[in-house]
Amino acid sequence: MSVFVISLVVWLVLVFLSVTTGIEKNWLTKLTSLHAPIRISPTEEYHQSYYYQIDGLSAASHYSLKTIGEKAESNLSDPYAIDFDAEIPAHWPKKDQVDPVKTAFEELDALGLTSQDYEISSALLRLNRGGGTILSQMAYLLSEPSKNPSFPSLVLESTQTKSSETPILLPKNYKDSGVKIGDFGTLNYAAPTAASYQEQRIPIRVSGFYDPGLVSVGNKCVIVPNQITRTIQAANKTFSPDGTPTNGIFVWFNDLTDAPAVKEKIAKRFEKAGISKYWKIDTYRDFEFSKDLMLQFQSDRTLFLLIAAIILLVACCNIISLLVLLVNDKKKEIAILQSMGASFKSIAAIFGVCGIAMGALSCLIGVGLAIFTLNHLDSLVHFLSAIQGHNAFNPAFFGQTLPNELSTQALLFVLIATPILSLAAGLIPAIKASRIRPSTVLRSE
Amino acid sequence: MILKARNLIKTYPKVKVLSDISLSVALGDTIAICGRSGEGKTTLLHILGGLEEPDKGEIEIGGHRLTRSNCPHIRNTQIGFIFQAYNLLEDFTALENVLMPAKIARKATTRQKGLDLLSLVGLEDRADFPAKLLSGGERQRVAIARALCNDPNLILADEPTGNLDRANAKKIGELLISLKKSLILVTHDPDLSALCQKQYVLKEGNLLL
Repeated sequence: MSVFVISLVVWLVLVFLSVTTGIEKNWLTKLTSLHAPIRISPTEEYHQSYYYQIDGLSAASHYSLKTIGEKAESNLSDPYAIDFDAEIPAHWPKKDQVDPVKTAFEELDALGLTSQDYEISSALLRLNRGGGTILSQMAYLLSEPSKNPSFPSLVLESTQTKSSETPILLPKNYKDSGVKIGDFGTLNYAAPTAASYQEQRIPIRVSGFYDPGLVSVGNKCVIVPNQITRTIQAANKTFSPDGTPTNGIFVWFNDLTDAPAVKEKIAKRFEKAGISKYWKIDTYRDFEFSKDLMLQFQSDRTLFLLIAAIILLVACCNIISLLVLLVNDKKKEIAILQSMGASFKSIAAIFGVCGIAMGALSCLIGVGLAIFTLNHLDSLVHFLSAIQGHNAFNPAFFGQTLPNELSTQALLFVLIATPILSLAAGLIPAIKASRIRPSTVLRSE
Repeated sequence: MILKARNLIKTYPKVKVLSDISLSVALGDTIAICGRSGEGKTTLLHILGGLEEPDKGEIEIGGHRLTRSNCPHIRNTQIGFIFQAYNLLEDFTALENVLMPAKIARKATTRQKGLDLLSLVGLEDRADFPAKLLSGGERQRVAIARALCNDPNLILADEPTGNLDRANAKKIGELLISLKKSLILVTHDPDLSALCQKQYVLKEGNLLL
């Protein structure tokens, strides 16, 4: 009975944790595919710095603030010309010792990381769908993450446009709404003039569709060439509804789990280069749009592990009861062995080993069952769906198939926790067995 | 001396079972301890074999003072126990029972050794019989063979013929005496007692010759 219960718990833990780990991995891939595992965004100190503000005073910068991308591409770290430009106000910050943007990219290159600046802005998207129908909607504009290694896999279909209009990529939900490649329209935004704000229009043409993954504002996020976002003043301190900084640097690397270590490395390099005060480094776990989801996921798993540990404990109590009954049943045999010279330790070891053996056997059965279940997960899901009459797991959230890779972490948890708990469970009857007084038992016989 | 017991005292709640008992047994001595039921004969035997601790007093077996830590080892190597109720491991065969003390001592044993011991008690043809299928006399003989497994110098027997008929009791008694080991046996049987070199009586906590 105890072996059956422990096997069941081991099976449940392995299957649940393996599937949830796989789902979490898939979600993370989707969450980070449009962004990056690490995002570096400018701090308030950056925006208050001489380096950032001086463009607004310099003729060489056309008296306008620059985005991070523009700063990186600029030949001059300090465009200010003392003979030509207006006098710098006395309260302005002192000139910076280093160029925060160029240095940041240099340090990232030195670490061998793929990085690219990004810009987010917004505009009114007006699409002519033919037949006099016009689609009009506010949209977020994201500069094309051309260096993002997973970006090509997100693009569902695209064509090269030869027209003069700016090519844009729309989220796949637009396609579901009837928008077609080649549809054209404008991006409308308000630009400040000397007297007021004036509406500006940028002609666009739909060049393709992409999968925005699970990003909360993904279905309204239009991917445009970076000169468009720059034109719509992405350099200004604006904010997005999900809290994502509108200008920053994306950093990509292969393994998502390396994110904390990579963040640490970048932070150290930035610290050494003297630019750490200008930058805030976040991993995907800190992203505003994914933080709550990640925390909830973690909480769910911790809660389940806790429940699993409690069930394991109950099952181990079952082992204790079973072995204590066995000790009571075998009192005479234990006393006989003691009269022949069996030591307390060897008597205790018999029951301790019994506990471990039961735990190990349960572990093996549970792991075997879990591997079998994971290998036949699709059949199980089909069966559950057939019973319910609809998809048991919504493909929009969980993908077309559930992940069925055995989680190494879960396997380690089970392989360590079960024998330890079984050993602990075997100890109580073992101590009880070793305390039997042979004289009393043999006399009563 | 194979056994030296000095000033043994044992008291159960409100009853003093042993009061200041001393006993010495030389190699080859055979001693019978008689007495009425409840006088403490079994208690004395268990204390001498380290199955029970005295309240006071000390015991030396084979030159080693009996302590809690060395007790199992001494029981295994120097003492052979024989009980009235045989106390065999019922699910094991006669041969497995006989070789059990050697296994506890982690000594290499052979089937032949077990057969030799069983042949000593005339039971070699019962070697592979489960203990539970043997008769009372056969079980006691298996118990004697088991007591001899690790070649101990001292045999402690508690009413070894108590559950046997007269004919079987005589055979077992003669077998015990023929072992040429130091023997302390507790018995009510005057015939068995008469086979020993010394006869003691345990009365009101004292051992009287």
